Amino acid sequence: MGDMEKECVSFEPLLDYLDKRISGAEQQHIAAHLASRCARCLARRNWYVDFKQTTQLATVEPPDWVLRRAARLFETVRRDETAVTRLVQGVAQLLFDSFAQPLAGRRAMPSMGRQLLYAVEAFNVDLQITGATGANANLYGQILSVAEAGFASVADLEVKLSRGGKLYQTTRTNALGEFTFTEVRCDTYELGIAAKNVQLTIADLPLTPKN
Amino acid sequence: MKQADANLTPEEWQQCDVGQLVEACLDGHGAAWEELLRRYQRLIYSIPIHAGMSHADAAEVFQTVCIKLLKKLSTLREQEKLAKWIITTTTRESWRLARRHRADRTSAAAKGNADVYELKDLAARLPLQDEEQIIWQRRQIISEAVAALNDKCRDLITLLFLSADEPSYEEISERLQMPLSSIGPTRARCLEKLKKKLAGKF
Repeated sequence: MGDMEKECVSFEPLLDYLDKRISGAEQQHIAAHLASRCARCLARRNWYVDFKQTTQLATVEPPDWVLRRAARLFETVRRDETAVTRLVQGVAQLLFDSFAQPLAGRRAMPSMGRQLLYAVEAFNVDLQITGATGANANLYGQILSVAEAGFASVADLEVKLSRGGKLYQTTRTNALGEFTFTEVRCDTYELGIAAKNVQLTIADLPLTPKN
Repeated sequence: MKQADANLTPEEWQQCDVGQLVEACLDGHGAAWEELLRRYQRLIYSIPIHAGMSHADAAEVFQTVCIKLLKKLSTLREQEKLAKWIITTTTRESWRLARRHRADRTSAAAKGNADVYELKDLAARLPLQDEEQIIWQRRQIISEAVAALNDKCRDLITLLFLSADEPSYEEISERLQMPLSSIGPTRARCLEKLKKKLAGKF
C-alpha cells in the first residue's frame, strides 16, 4: 500500500464530506487528501457522486388498480397466444419419404422400414416405421431442434398418437428427443408433440403397409 | 437457486433472476409475471410521468407496454436487454399516445379533456436521448440492487436516497427506530454492501 493510501479516508467521513455534513479541520483534511489524487478515495468519491446523481431521478409507483389490471393480462394474453400456437399444428411439411424416393437401385419392399422426415416450426421430426406388414407396426421417432445444437429443448416432451380424433397412445421423449410406439395397430394417425410453447402436429401419419 | 416452480414463496420469486422469471412466465406461472411487474412497475410508469403526461395516460401506456412485454418475453431473458426494451418501448408508446390525443384534439377539447399535450413540449422530452436512456437503465439497476439488500439497509438507503420527501436524519431515526448517531455508520456500511452488489453493473 502506498503512502497516500495509508492515509486514506474512511468511507463514512468521506460520505459526510461529500454531503457537506462536516466542516473545519476535518473537512480541510479530506479536501487535501482528495487533492493529492489518491486513486482509491477518488474512485469512491466518483462512485458516490454518480450514485447520488442517478438516484435524483425519482420514480413513481403506479396505483394498485394499474398493477392489478396488468397482472390479469397474464391469463388473457397467454390464452390468445395459445390459440395462435394451435394454428401451427397443421403446418408440418413432409421433406422426405423413403417410399416415395427409394434408394437408387433398390425397389422399396413393404417389409422394409419406412423413413419419413418432417419439418415443423423450428424442429425436424425423423420417423422410422417398421414391421408394418401385418396388423401392427412400430414407430420410432426423434425430434431435433434446428435452433439448438444440444437436446435440452426436445427432452421429456409429451408425444401423443391419436386416431380419428381419439387418443390412442402417449409417451415422452428421452434425453435425446427419441420416442417409440410399439405394436401400434396399422392405420393412419395424427402425431402430436408438445414442444416448448408450440404444439407440433403431423397429420395423416401412415402406419400402414405400402400397397 | 431453487428451480422456479409454482410453489415458490413471494420472497423466493424475488431471488430469481430475469432469465428464471421469464422462463417461469413461459411455463405458465402467473406469480413470475407478478414479480416482473413488481420489479419494473416504477420504470414503466415513471417514463411517461417524467415526460409530462397525466396519470391516466401513464396508466394506458403501462397497460400497452405490459401487453407487448408478455408477447415479447421469450426474447428478453437478460436484465440489461429487458430494461433497454422497456425503456425504448415505453418511450415509443408514450409518444404514440400523445400523437393520438393531438389527432383527437378537437373532440377532446370539446369534452374538456386536459390530456392533450403540446407535442413540442413532449418532443423536448421524447424520444429520450441516449444519455437519458442510460440514466434510466442505471436507475433501474440501483432499484433492483437496493431491493436485494437486507431489510435494515434497504429501508435506510430508500429513505436516504430514493424517497421523494427526503426525510432528515431525525425523521429517519424516528421512522426506523434507529439511534441518530448510528445513521451515519450504518449508511456507510449499507452503501459498501450496495456498492458490492452494483460492481460491474454501475
